[in-house]
Amino acid sequence: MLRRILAVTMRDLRSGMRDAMIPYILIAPLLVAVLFKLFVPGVGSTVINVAMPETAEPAFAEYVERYGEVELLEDRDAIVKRVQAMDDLFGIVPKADGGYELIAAGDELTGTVEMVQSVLSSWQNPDLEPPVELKISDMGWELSPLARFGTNFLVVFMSVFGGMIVMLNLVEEKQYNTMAAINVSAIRRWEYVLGKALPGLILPILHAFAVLVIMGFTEVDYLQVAVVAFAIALISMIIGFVVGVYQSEPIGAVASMKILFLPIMASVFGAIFLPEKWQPVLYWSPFYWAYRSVDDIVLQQAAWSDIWLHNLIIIAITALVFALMHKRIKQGMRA
Amino acid sequence: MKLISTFLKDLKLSLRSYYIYIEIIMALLIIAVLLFVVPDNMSSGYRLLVHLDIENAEISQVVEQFMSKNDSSMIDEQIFADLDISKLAEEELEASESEEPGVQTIELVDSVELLRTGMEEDRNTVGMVVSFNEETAKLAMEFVLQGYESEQMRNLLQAQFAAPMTALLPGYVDQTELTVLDEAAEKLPAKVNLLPVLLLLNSSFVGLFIIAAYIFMDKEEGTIRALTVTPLRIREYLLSKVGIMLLTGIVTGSMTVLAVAPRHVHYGHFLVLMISFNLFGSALGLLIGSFYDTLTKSMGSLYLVIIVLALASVSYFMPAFSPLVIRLLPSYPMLFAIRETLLKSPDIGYIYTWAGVFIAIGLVLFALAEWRYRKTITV
Repeated sequence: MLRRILAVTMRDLRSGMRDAMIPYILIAPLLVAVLFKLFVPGVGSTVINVAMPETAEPAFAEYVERYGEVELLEDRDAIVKRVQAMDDLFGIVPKADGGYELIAAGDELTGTVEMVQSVLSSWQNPDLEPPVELKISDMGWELSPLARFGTNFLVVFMSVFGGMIVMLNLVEEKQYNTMAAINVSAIRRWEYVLGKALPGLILPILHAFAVLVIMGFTEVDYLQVAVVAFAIALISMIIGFVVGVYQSEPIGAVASMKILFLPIMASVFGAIFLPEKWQPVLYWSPFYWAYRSVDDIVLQQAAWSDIWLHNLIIIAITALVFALMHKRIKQGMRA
Repeated sequence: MKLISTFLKDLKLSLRSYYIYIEIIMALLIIAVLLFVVPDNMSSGYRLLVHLDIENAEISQVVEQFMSKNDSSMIDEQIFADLDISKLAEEELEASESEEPGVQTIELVDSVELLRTGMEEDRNTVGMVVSFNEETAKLAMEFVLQGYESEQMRNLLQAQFAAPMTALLPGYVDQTELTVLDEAAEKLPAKVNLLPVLLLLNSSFVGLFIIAAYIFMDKEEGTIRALTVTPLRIREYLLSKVGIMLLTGIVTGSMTVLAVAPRHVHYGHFLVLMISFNLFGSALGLLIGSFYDTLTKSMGSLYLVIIVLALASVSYFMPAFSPLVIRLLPSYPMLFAIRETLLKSPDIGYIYTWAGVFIAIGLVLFALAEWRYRKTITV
């Protein structure tokens, strides 16, 4: 039995390796994670960008660099042109009387002009001590919201790739009418189904591990990750089957997968941005529960009881979808 | 003539398959989310926990008054809004609905321990401990940050906080003259501001997602072999597919923009951009697809390209983060050009410059794709 299941899996894997699809699906999400990792330190670290003339006093440019990024440009005209570009950047032009002209486009984020003004104010009043003592300390929490939410999103989103393999394999079988051949082969239908599903179950687990390692979360509980990733893999597999058996042409399958991005995005961004009282509107989505678990794991606050509860909900939703769809999946497999 | 009849035939086939309807459903879902879920004003202010560590009741009272009068001017919420993703607290949502966007929530807590616990529970919270230094006879304000904030941000926060207080001192100098280039610069409501990203990915780049699938489908079904014995040229065959993508993009894009921002959109300009960007997306999709012989193989590359192009939306939402590598992505000017069509006074020059540029690039990509397909399409 196991041999037959593995035979189906190996056949799909061999076919995937031949056209480089399996290595690609394995590596592509990791490339995205690497790209994201490169991005994270830059995003949010700079709040203000400033352009000033090359002739500006070096000490002044250095001072402003303590607060934001500085670009040196030829003259005021070049600065005005740069300020008018689509990103948020202010121009500072020293005036003959010792003052400064602060040039703003007018569409910058609220409050950023005041920030630059406060920098100029502190430069112009170096000897004035504020009437209160100001101090900044921190809690030692170095995980930025972007790294946290981004990693969670990547782990949940990657589940689609496992489902995509199952879906593409099925669509391919349907296209070449090889599904009918299963009916006259020695393999049982459920063995065939399991064999087909195996890559969709394993890939999200591998992806979850790899994404967490790439993003630097080496201290998390990997057993919890494996348990949650298995649940995500279940969703992924059901998606693959439902889409795969419904579509007999790749174009419909690709478009269907595209439409699935919406509930994933809605679940993840909803979990991040919606206030607590609105969170129940997402309870129907297995991606929401997966996100909650992954978030707890990344924050290293995950209790096993919560992980099991979330997984139970995911499995219940997946089972419900499977129960509703199993007739259609069966029919599709025969077609 | 041949092109038109091929296009009509492709259109008939498309209408018979699921595909176009799936795109329309997707557009309807986006409309529903934007209209019913996304608020008009989205505040991304932060929560500030304050502990007043002052025994003297009078000083405490003075500080409390100071806080209540000066809260929004003393600390600017944008420092933290720019940290990117921050959870919207219920109070902040209410604040955003009260036409006072970005108002932060200030909560007083009884001890430093409670402040730290509160900050641990919500990592988007900032703390402040106010005490009185007997030695210097000065108020001492300690900002407690989470730890992920950059050095520049910390300096900025300090300067931002010190500036209004320093301004009260004798001898204060302010020789800064503010020049605002566009006093009437408009800020779009949140749901309208989201439109460019959704329109670009769903309608403009529809061909990038799907056009290769069309070609592979024809290839696998043997349609292309049949076409080689007809007078139809490869260019017309490919143009017909581009036409289907264009029609789909225009239909879904128009539905979305007219439903969500009917009073904002300059439809004529919007249509020009849709045509230009859609042609670019389809031509790029065709070119990428030409390097593969099956859909399965091409999908990885296509998705990767789409993800890379989608990165421009980070800079769109956080304009202070716009490194050169992002500004060089084609999607970067596309997003801002679409946004221009939603403004009261759009920058016509910007819109038509980029429309022209992407039509030109699209034509070059199409020519390259045609050259590639001439060599490979019947194989």
